[in-house]
Amino acid sequence: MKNLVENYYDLLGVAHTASTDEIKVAENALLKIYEARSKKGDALATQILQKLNEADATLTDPARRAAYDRKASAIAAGFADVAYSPQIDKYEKVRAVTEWFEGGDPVRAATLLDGKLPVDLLAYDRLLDEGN
Amino acid sequence: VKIQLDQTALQRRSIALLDVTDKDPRAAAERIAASEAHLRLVVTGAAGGKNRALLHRARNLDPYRAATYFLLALDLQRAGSLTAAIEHYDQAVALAPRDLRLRFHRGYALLEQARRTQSADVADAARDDFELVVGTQPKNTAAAFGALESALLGKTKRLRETLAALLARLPPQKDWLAPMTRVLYQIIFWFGVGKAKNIDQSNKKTMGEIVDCARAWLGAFPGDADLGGVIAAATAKCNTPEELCERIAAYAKDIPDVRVLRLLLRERLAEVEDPTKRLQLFEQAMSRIPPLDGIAQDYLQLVHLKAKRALAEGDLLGARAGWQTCLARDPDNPGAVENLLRLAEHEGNTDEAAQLRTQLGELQLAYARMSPRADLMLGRVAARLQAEQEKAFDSTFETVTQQGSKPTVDQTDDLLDKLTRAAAVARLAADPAARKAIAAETIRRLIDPASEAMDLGDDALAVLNQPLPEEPPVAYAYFDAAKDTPDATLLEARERSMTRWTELEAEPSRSPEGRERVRLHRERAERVTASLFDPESRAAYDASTCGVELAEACRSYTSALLRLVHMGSAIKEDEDAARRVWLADKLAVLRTPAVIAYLPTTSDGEAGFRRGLAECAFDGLLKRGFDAMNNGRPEEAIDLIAAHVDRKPGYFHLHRLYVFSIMRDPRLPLDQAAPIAQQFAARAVESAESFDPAALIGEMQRIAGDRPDHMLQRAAVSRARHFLDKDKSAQALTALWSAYPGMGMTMQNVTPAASAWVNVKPTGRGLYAWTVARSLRDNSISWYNAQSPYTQYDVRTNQVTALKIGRSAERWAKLAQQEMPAETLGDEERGQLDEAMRGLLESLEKDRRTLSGL
Repeated sequence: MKNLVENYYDLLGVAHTASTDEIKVAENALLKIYEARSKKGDALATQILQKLNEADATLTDPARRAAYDRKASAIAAGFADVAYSPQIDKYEKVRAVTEWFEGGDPVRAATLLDGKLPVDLLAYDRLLDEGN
Repeated sequence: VKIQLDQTALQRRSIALLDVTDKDPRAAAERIAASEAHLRLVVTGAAGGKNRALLHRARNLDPYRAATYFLLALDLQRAGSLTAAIEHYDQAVALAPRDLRLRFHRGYALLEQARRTQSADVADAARDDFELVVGTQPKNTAAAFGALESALLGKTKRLRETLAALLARLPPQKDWLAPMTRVLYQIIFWFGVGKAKNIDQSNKKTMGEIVDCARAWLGAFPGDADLGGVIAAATAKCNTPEELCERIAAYAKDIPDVRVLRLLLRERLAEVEDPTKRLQLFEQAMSRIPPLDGIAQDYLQLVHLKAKRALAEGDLLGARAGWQTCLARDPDNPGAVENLLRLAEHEGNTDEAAQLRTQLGELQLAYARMSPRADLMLGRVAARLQAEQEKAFDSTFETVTQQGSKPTVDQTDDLLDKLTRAAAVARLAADPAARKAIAAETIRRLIDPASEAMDLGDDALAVLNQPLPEEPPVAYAYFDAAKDTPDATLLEARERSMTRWTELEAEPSRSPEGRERVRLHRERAERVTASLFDPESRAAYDASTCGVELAEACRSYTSALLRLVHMGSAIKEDEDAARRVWLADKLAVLRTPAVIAYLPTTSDGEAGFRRGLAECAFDGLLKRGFDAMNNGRPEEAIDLIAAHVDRKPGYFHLHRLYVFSIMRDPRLPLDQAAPIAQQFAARAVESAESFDPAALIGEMQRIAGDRPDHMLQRAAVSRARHFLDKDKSAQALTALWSAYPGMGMTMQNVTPAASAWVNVKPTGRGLYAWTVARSLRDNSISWYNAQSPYTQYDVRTNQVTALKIGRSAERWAKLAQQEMPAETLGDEERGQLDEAMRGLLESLEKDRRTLSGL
């Protein structure tokens, strides 16, 4: 086991695209297993528990995780993902739906950003004085 | 108000008014009018590309006009400078708080900002602006829709509480059908799922409101498939994972876009913690629906996750079974093959491992050429190669350190081959343009496990020399940070770097040149990275530079190359000089576009790279050359380095050695050696880097700029000193003779040699005079002590000769004292010389008294 599983994602049994929630869930499940084994005197289980802590500290911190994800030795030590199914958060879902459906951006269409500027803009302050 | 639209008249009027206000700043009315004239130019489109400048001038003339800030904000927003635009909208709103058009525009700018920054607070601020407009103009659909879109990105609780009211303000309208359908789907996916925090329970109410709205719109547009899809999706959202998988066939009929169905399945199954259970449910769902676009990927992912979980629990059989299932579903899946290969290797199953290895090699080649996600495959190969290279580097370093030795050319070359191959594959992974430009056969060779790195130099260079498709974000590299580093981490990185640079600048052991280099680097870093610490300009910088993967490939290649250059500069001195030069040339070729971009971000920069290469090539030669020259064999030094002094770029220390060696080379007459030395001194100055000590550079500058007669004397002094050190005063005097103005090149052949100088009038530069004086006394003493006079007459004659030489030496020493201030010398050297000159004069005086007394 020691030489086979060195990468944190493999240690947790999650994909490289796992969300923080998934990582936490997997970690909790594994902690239960290895804590039980460790209490029975399994030295390897104790080592794995230590590594699980390291994995948690690295993968739940976005900056440390990004650095780890680019570390050649970590990638090379990891098992390969067999499919490309990235996690998508709510903002990405909103963006994806925007791409799937037509209809443009009707709020922008109502602004002065894309067309000619109306000359009444110059009477702006006067209109304000009249109570708009 | 009748608005004047004659553009020429406007321009004339604006200039005239400006003239008035420039003459009298108190002419407020004129200023206001001039400001308005500028605005008119902008609004009527007469300003051409000068809108921004005109608006700034209008603002300076009349800073209290809301329209100016509004127009500036529009201009900035069009240019993508959202934060600056919002600041100007704020200013305009402060001046005209009741203006609805202004509020609407600021609302839209804030909405865009919320999308960009994913900030719920900004989204809620946008909503407030839209709400203000709707409050006064209830029929303003765009504002009501803007409020809904802002609410979608705002605080979830507020959205849930007000969703029904937001939707109710938007009665069915044909023009708004498509955007409304889109937003309804977005709201469905905005909310999460699961039992935690009672989300599923809250969703029932929210999804019910969406269904009611969709039904109302469906009443107006009966048969609209997408609205039907919204109702089905909102209903499905409230299902448990089991219910969703059970009813999936019905939803597949009602939801026209399979991507929506897939997303619903993914988010609902993600909450099932046990991968086995998740896989089971997914298989149930798959059995009930026709194959969906992308569903195979989700299936493989779930089987893979089950295998990984088994691996994590130590169940290797379970893991193997999982990846075999993946392979059964997708026989050409390289990930599954690679994982099975690892298991086979771990279990010592060599036959299976060999077969899988061959299969993996073939698949990698095919995927690298044909897969739409070739980047993933190449990225893994690159990581493996890079990890191997790093391991080899560490191992070499450790071996060398343990042995208290230095690296060899072969060791460095081997690491270099590995580095270039890994860097080339990493570049291919991160740069689609390079993949397209490079021949498939080249890529095949680079990633083929059977290829040896030493045979791939040209292939790797072909990749690394590809022009970068976009500018790399080099500013981040000053702080050793990646482009996607969060703001807070970037600030910490800057703090660390600044502290380090400040400490280095203050280090007393550092040379002045070294401190100056650090200061310049720190200042450059501050200048180049300033834009990273303003969100708006950082976003603009990020948008204008290449992606993080390519940037990191370039950055890590540059730093690995610099490590190797550093190793090259530490190669054993006794390694073959030609091989060292060959290695340096090989390293020099690796200054590819990525390295050119990133070198300035390193503390030593381009100059450090050049110096490293020069040290790699010539440090051994230099040591041997200086040893030879200092041990009286300048011709040997010349022979060692002559073949390299014409190389480009030049190397300061090599040229400097050549200058001193040629001045002392006995094979060359002094009048020929002096101009050559001057020529090479000039080349030394040209090739000097900021690393080279200022004193040595100054020395070369003085030699290069010397008058011809002074140069001749300098060269003579150099040769004479060398002879004096070896007690060869006669030869020293011969060398000095050839530099005396108008004397001819050959000294009279007399004994003692110094007597040839007795009637020579002292002249020349201080160092020359001093060296002549010293040589005369040395020669006189060694000659006098070597005599064995038989008669008193002989004794007296010798004394007279010695006295004459002594008087001559005294005259030269006095000239030296007089001329020495004109020589450029260091304080320490000058002090030593002054003391030596005083000592010589005292000795000459003592000699005179001794000789006269006898």
